Formats: sequence, structure tokens, C-alpha cells
Amino acid sequence: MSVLEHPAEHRTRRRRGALLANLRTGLRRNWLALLGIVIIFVVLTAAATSVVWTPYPVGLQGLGVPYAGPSLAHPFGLDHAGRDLLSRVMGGAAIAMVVGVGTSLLTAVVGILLGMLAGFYRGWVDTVVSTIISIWYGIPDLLVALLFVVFLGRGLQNIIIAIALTRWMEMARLVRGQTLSLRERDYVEAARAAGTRDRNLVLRHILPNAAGPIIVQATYLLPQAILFEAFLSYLGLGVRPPAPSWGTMAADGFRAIQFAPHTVLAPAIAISLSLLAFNWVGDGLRDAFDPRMRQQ
Amino acid sequence: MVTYAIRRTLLVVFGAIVVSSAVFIGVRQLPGNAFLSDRVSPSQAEELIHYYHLDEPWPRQYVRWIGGLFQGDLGESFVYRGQSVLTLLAPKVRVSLGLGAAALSVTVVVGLSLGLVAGIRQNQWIDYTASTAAVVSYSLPNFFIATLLVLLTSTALYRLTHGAFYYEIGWGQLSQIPVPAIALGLPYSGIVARQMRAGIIDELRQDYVRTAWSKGLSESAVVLRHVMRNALIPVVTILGPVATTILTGGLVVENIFGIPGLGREFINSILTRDYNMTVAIFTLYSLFVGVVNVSIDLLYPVLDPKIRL
Amino acid sequence: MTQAVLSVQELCVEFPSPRGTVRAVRDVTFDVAVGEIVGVVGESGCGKTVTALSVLGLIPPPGRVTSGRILVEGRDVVGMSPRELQELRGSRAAMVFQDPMTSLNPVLRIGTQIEEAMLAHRGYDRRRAQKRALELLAQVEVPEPERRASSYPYQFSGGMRQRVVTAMGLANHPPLLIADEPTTALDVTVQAQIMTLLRKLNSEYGMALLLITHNIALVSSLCARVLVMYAGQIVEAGPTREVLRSPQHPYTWMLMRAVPDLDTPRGRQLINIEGSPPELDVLPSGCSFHPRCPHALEQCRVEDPPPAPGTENHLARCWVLMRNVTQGAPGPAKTRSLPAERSLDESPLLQVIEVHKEYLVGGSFGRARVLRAVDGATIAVQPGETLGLVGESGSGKSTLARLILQLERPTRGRISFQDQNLTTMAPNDLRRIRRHMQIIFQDPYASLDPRMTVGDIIGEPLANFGWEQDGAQQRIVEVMELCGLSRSLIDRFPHTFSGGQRQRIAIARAIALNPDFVVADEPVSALDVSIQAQIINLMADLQAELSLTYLFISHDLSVVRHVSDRVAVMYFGSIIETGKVEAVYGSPLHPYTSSLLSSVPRIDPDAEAQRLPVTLRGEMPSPLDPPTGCPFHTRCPIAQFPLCSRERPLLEAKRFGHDAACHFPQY
Repeated sequence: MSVLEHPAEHRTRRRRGALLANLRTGLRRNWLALLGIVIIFVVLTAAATSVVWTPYPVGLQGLGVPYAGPSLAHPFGLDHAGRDLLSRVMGGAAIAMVVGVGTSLLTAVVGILLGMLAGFYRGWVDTVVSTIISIWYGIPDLLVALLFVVFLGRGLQNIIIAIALTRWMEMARLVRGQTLSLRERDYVEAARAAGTRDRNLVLRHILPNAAGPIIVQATYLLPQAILFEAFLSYLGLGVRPPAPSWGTMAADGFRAIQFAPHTVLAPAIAISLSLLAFNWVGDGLRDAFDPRMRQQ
Repeated sequence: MVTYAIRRTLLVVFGAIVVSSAVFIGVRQLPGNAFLSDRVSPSQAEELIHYYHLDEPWPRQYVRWIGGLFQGDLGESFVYRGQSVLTLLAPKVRVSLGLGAAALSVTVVVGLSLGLVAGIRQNQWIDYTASTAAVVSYSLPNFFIATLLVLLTSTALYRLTHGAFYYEIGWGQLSQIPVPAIALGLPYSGIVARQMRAGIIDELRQDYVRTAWSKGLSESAVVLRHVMRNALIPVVTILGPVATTILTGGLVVENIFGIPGLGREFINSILTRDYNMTVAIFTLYSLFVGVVNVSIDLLYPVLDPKIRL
Repeated sequence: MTQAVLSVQELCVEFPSPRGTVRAVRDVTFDVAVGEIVGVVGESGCGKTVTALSVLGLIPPPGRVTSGRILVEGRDVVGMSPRELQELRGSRAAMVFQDPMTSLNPVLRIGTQIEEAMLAHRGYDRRRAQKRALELLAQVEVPEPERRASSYPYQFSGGMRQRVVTAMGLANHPPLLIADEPTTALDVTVQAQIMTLLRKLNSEYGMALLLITHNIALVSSLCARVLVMYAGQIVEAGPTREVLRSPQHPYTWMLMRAVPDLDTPRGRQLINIEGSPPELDVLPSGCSFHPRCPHALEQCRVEDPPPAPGTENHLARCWVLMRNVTQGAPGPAKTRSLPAERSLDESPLLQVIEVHKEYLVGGSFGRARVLRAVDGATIAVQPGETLGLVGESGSGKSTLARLILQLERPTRGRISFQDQNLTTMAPNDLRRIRRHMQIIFQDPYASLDPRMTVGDIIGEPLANFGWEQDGAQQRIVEVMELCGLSRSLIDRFPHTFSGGQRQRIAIARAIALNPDFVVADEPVSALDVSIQAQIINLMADLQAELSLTYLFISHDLSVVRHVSDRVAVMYFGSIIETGKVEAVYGSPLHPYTSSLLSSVPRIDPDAEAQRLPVTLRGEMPSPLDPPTGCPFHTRCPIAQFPLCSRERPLLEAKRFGHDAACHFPQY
């Protein structure tokens, strides 16, 4: 049949997920996102490296005059206890990444599970989950996290759980909304009519199509988690010293801001750059997944 | 709509009680108490423990507390003995609410204006500047911004104007409101701006905007009368969580600016183990957050006639 | 000679895009005289909407006019300042857009929106504008103008909204009104009402009308002159009668024969216009239609023909011209073999008996109301036939389709397939039955999962029923070729295909398991006219080859007449008439059916001139508030009280093989 000859056919695309194709065009358009990726890459490298090596041991004190400024031996200078700031910033990167990724994953898992259940089965399941979400939104997040950490002790694990406790509702609500709307799509109905089971409807049709907004939300969660941990550290409830959490370092550094600004600038800039980077990447991903942009 | 408001408020109260109960019970499981300090002798400590019913099994304490709750009595402070928690907290509540309201105004005004401008001039330089400013604002920890502002206003400005201008951190005068309000509200204005910009861009593409243009309306009429109201609807959605974060973020700002509000008191109470205070503040915060969220939800029908609660 | 109210001269509009420049409008020239109604006909992408938008300077960026002039009452719109454009819009020329659901601002009252059309221009104060708004609403026949003016758009139906938008356009007595597909989103009966309204406005106020549409019959009904557009150019123009009776451009000629009409003999096969309209950034050389034209000459490939003058201002851009074609006209001669008379004793394949579907709507805690989407529907489908199901929006036909496929469970009633009761079946047995009944949806853009390849989409039903890799692969390719899709497309994603091709994929998916029964829910309604014919013909071929039984659901009466053996008419949730197609269309028993048929415009100008529409009062009642007795009595021209409002008529045989639900069937 002559349908083959027609020019419209010759718009080829190689076999590759439509997901990835969108990503490339979208990100290319958004140079801030690329910048963000570069920054994240640097941070991740610093974090990973710090596990096995740092210029100086992270906890080693008395390397020189306390509050010493940047020098060749210590590019970021020394803190109030004479510790090398560069090494500590690298260590802080590791902590920030663990907190960020850990929270993001935990929130995603809980949120996706509850959101999908509520959205797909509706009925009483939805009512229960939605009510819980509504009530949970009314809980002051910082306070809950504070109390959680105070009562159950500090430590990376508890901090991750505490932050996830305050953030899961947004993911659940998002996933629920996505599931509710995707469920009504014609292609899901068609799959049902073709005999596809519920489980496969969710896994093969709904989840992949909801993946975009979910990934975007998860990306935004990272900076929120890092910020939250910084808050906790600032209030003295973060990871136990002498662990080099950026927040603790900033809190310590503020005291010396007048005469040794580098002690607060190093961690503060590290925090800010990381947050900016993730937010830019999140924006880029959001634009890439925007269905309107796809239709060009 | 009235039934909706009542229903939601009841839900809020219920939620606050549930969560506060969890805190109450959790707190009672902790070892140690407020009276283990050098200034209190062991026999006095025993008396105090008995006075505050801390020797009873926790379920009984809980029932007592709930009973008191419904009578409006939140108990007495462990530290400031003899004084009702509520009377102690009342002035601090005023302070925190005042700060929160001021900060929220900053957020809304700055956020909406920035977002509006960025949205109607999409992809032009003014959009890029505004959008980048927005992202930067919520990528900086607010204690960072707060500390910088403190330094700026109290130290730097003083030096620059050779003592003519002096900002005293603290609370009590009208002039002391703007700086902490900005410190607290500015970061979140970025989020509002971003949402507003997205909303405006979305609405500008809608068919009814094309209809408005075809009638010969001017740009200001199209944007202000047609687009704004529709674009505000998704903004209201994020306003709830933003308001919540402002209320709780006040904790940090109060600390830095030395403002005697609920946040500072909350941390103090944990440190001094004045658990009656802790639970009370927590309850109050939950109530406020809940009420603010409900009020914001009530904005929907004002903006969108299709929604009838 | 009086100056034309609109004069478009050699207009060219381009859209720069990353893929290259899209030339949306090329060298378009036409006039609209004072008080004249001119129609612009074409399929999607032909440039008709962009042309219309450019008259008001509303081309969406980055598009721009690259050359040409647009004179509105002698003043050139191209190059006007924003200020001048603002003054022009709404007062010298106004526009009515296609989608009434989105053309109005949802948060402002109707009255406000009409008033601002006046207040934007000089000469009105608040009070006068308010008064005039009410007058306008009355003119466009909106009942209870005072109450309606303070309502919001969501409280109006589609037809009402379109009237409101028309009122906004009229507000300043513009000499020119441009209507872009004003009735496409509306039901046939409502369409008839709007057409009458437009005609009235034109004759009473001398307002010129530029009507953009893809519906040729509409043009025949309303327009004095017609322009046919293809790939950004006007390929034929002239007086409507002339152009429709003797079209000169092959495209026009084929287009008219690709559209089923109520007057065309049923056996005649629709003409397939092979291929699809070209992408406007990669236009073919020479004449843009030549790749699809069966009469193309070498010259057509090389040189773009200029408008060739004919008689009476009838122009066509063609080297060949149909009047010079003596033979080899692509064959309408080939008639489709109509299925043999089937005895009605044979056991029906599908039986729907008194099926109801109710939804609870509205807030919880007792405020819920009952919405009756399907209210006692009964039909039967015989094996091997095509049963057409006709109804307007809100009639419940889509809900019925989903109930039949058990995508939703009926609240009451029985549905049996091959003598097995589906409503009481266990889920696992139901799944097994699914291989025998499949569905094709309306929207080809929504019915294919954008994240799956063509092969995966078609292979999904096979995988569900245990086909292993090799057998499945083979079957997929087999089915694709049956549907006119080359096997090389198997790894592509849906977004790279056109609407027509996607629908082919959907059809391939539906027949993969070789079902006995296929429900087609508006399978061609979202497609362009020339593609519709391809899909209709494909479905007919598949039916013959695979012995399929179809339930063909559509609101388009002509299409249903063309494809079906028997037809059922649905109104407000129940079937009100069934019978053989010739019987129902030829001598309808139910007043709704006859009104429906009389509202459909015909392509042939003479037939159209003789058509006497029976207009119904008002609109379909709300399903939340059903009328008592016969659901149609609120609009029925022959209703007699108190019987019709008290007793609901049953669907009974009034003639042999022809059932109707009416107390006073029109014998």
C-alpha cells in the first residue's frame, strides 16, 4: 500500500525510549540545567572521594593557627579548631549527598506506594489515604523533625527518616493525582479491554507515564532535604560533631564571620551551589518532560 | 461553604490533638526530668514531681491532660513554676504571629510581582533575571540570609552612615519588623514567583485570552482582568505549604534576631526539659498551621466560581 | 462598485521553526463583499485558520506575515501598530472561535465579558453597555437574558456558549464577522440552530461573514461563495453552486466524493485520497497536490499552477482541470457489496437488555445526586452485521460502549455475549471473553501509550493471552500489513505518526486476537475528511476478510448510514428507534430521528435548498434532572399532553423489523 511512500513516514527516530529523547532536547535547551549537572558532578566526585581520601583527615585538629585564612597548603583555610576546611567540605558533601539521596528515595518509595494505591483503587482506600495526607499537611514539619531527632537520637539514619516524614505527602499527592488522571486515559482503557491485568496496567502503563513528574519531584526533594539538614545542624540537632555537616560548619562559622569569613563562606557557598544546581536540574527536567514541549 | 469550613476546622483540631498526644506520650517516655538540677534538692524534686503528677502512670497523666485541654488549660510550666503555660505563651504567640504575617506579606507581594513580570515577558532578559533571582532566593538557607541581613543592618549600615542609622535587633518597635520579615519571607517569594510565572504562561496560551485580544482589549486589561485571576489559582495551592514553612521557619529567624517568639521558646523548653511547654507550643503550632491552611483553601471559591465548597 | 469589506491580496504567512520555515499561507488572494457570506473549506493544516487569524493580527508568535496586504474597509492590517489593531479588533472585524468550552474566561461572568467588548471601544458607559449586553443575548436567542448575564460559563452548554461568543462578536456592529469552525464542536441539532442564527444576523444586519470550516455541506447551506484551501494555497474558488456542482480541481472533486452524504447511494464506495497532506516545511515541488493526484502530469511535478480563470469567477489552480478529464476518473463505479439479507431468527451475538448506569455526583454526606448516563437501553447485534449507534453528545452512547465491554459494570440490566451473561461473570472468565470483543477509540492521540512502540502496542493483547515470542511477532506483522502499515514501522513510537496512521495502529491492535466483535467508538470523528474515507474503507475490507461484527458508534449520521446495515438511535440514555438503515433513514418513526435527519446539511446545493429543518426547542435536559414520562417530550414538536409527560413509551416493534419508543410514531 502506498502509505509507505509518503514523506511523513521518513521522519525517523531510532529505537530509544521517548523518555530519553525528550531529555536530550529539553536539557540542551536549558543551559542552566547543564551547569547544574556539572556542579552536581563535582559535588558527587568530592563526596565519593572523601570516603577514601581527603587532603587531610577530616577530624584532625591543630593543623595550624585556628581560623587561618586560605593558603596553598589549605585552599579553604582552617576552622576554629585548626581543621582543614577543604577536607571538611568534601566530607560534608558526602553527608549532604547521603541525606539528599536517602530522603529522596525513601520519600519516593512511600509516596509512590500510597499515591498509586489511592489513585488506582479509589474508594475507601483513597479516602483513608487522602485524609491521612490532609492531616499530615497540618503538622508543622520542622518541629516534628526536631522532636523526632531529639527523642530518637541524632545520626544520619534518623535524620533521613525525620525529613522523609515531613515530605512524603507531597509525593503521595502528586502520584495520586497522576494515577487518577492516567487511569482514565484511553490507552489504559484499551489495555484493560485487551485483557491486561491490574498489576500490569499500573506497572506498564501508568507508572512509566507518571515517571516524568515523579522524577522531577524527586529531584526537587534533594535540595529540600539538604536544606532541612542544614537547619537541623544550625540548631545543633544535626549529625553529631565532629562529623563535618555543612550546616554545623556554617553555624560554627557564623560566630567568626567578622574576622574569619572564610569559615562560614566555604560551607555556605557549598550549600548554596548544591541547592542551586539541583533546582536548575529539576527545572530543566520539568521543562523536558512538559508534554507541550514534546509536541513540537 | 460554611459546612466545609467547619468540617475542615474540626479535622484540624482533631489532627492537632492526635499529633500533640503523640508528642505528649513520647515526652513522658524520656528519662530525666526538669527538676534534675543543682538548685533543687532531692526532696524538693520529689515534691515537684508529685505536684506535676509525673509519678503517675502515663495513661492517667494523658487523661488528665486531655481533660485540661478541653477546659483550655494547658498546665503549668515546669520551669516557671506556678505559672500557667497559656499566660506565659500568650505574648509570644502575638509576636510569632506578627512576624509570620509580615513575612507572608513580603512573600506574597514580592513573589506575585516578580512572577507576573517574568510571565508576561517570557524569555526576555527581564524574565531571565527575575527567574534566576527567584531560584537563587530559595536555594539559600534562610539562616544565611538572616545572618547576612543582621550583619548588614546592625554593623555595616552603622559604619557606613557613621552612626546615623542604627538597627537594633529585637522586637517591640514597628521599625524592627521589616528586616526579620524580609529575612523570613524572601526565600519563599521565589517559590511563589516561580508558580505565578508558570501560571501566567499557561493562561496566556489559553483560548479565552485569544478571545479577549480579538475584542480589542489592551494588554493591561487582558493581563490584569483575565489572566491574573486564573493564574492565581495554582498559586493558592502552594501558598498553604509555603505559609506552613514560614510559620515553622520562624524558629530559626527568631533565634538569629533575638525575637522572643514561640520558636525560641520551643527550643528553650526542649533544652530545659520543660515538657509541658513543649507539648503546649507544639499544639499551638499545629493549630495555627492547620487554621492557616484552611483559610487559604477558603480562597479557592473566591477565585474560581466553579468550586463550590 | 462598493468597496469590499475585506480584501486579502497575495498574503504569505510563515512560521520559523527549528525544522525549517513552515509556510502556512502562500499567495492567498480573495475578497469578501459587504454583506456577503464566504466559506473557506479545507482540512487541518491547510492554512485556513491562520488566514483568518491574520485578518485580526492575531497570528501567534513566532509566525508573521512576510508579504501581501490585508485590507479591512480599505485599511491595511499588515503593519498596523498595536494601538490601531486594538481599535480594529471587535469593532470593525470580530471573530468567533471553534471551541466554545475554552473560548470564554471561566472566572468572569458572561455579562461582564460581553460588556467589555463594548467598553473597550469608545462610545459606551457602564450602564449602556449592560443594557446592550442584554439586548445582544436576546438577539442570539439566549433565554432569560437577565439571569444568564450574571452566570458563569460553566453553567452554560456548548451551544449556549457559542451564542454568547457570537453576541460578543456582534457587540459593536462590525461589518465583518469571522467564524472559525463555529459549529464543529456542537451537536447536529445545535449546529442547525447556530447556522440559522448566523443566517439571520447576516440578512438582518448586512454583516459579512467569513466562515471557516472543514464541512462542505455547511458551506453549501450558508455561503454564496466558497474557497478551497490546500497546503496553504487557495486551490479553487468560485460561487458555491458552481464549485460544488462542477469542481475543477482534482482535490475538490475527490474530497466531495470522500465524504458520505445522506443523498449518496449507499453502495458506492468512498474515494480514498491516498497519503496525507504535506508537511508545510517540506512542500512538494510544483503543484503541492501532485503526489496524491491520480491525474498528475509531468508539468504538475515541475511547475506550480497559477489560478486558471474559468467561468463566473470560478478559478482553480490546476494544469489539468477536471473538465478536461474524460476518463480514468478514480472509480466510484466500484460499489461495495451490501451484506445479504440476514434472517432475524439467528441468535444475536450481543444482547443488551434494559441496561442502566447511574453515577453518584456531588458532595458526600447526602448531597449526592444521581446521574443517569444510561437509562434502560436495549439493543441486539447480529453476527456479521454492522450496527450503527447514533446519538448526540450526552446521549450515553460512549457509556453504553464501555458497559458492553465491561469496562464498567451496569447498575441494572443484562448484557450477554454469545449467550453468556457478562454482568454476572467472574473476573477471570470475563478476561477470557475479552479476546472475542475489542474496542477502537475515538481519539487516536490518546488511545496509544506514548511510551510503547507500535510492536508493543499491537503485541499487548497477544502477550496477555499467552502468545509466545515468535508466533506473536508473526501475527503483529501480519496484522500491520492488513491495516496498511509497513512492517518497518514496528519499532517506532506513536508520536511520529499522523492521526490516520495511529488509528490504523489502534485497529491493528483491535484485530490482533481475531475477535468476533469490535466496538468502534467514533473511530473517524477526530480525523480529517480525506483520511476518514481511508479508515472507513479499511474497516469495511477487514470486516469482509475477517468476518467481523461491528458496533459503529458515531454522531455523524452520514457516516453511520454509509457503513451500517442496521441502526439504533439513542437519546438521553435510551434507545428510541432501531431498524434497517434504509427504513430508519428513509421513513423514520420517532420525531427525534426525523428532526435529527432534517438538521443535517447536504452537499448538493439543490438538495440543500430543499431541506426543511425541523428545529427542536431548547437543548437536551440535564441527566441530573430527567423529565417525567417520555424523555423527549420537552423538545418534541408533536408531543401531546398529558400522555407524553406522564407515561414513558417502550421500545416496541411498530413495523416489521423497525422498533420505536414513541406514543405517536410518524407512519
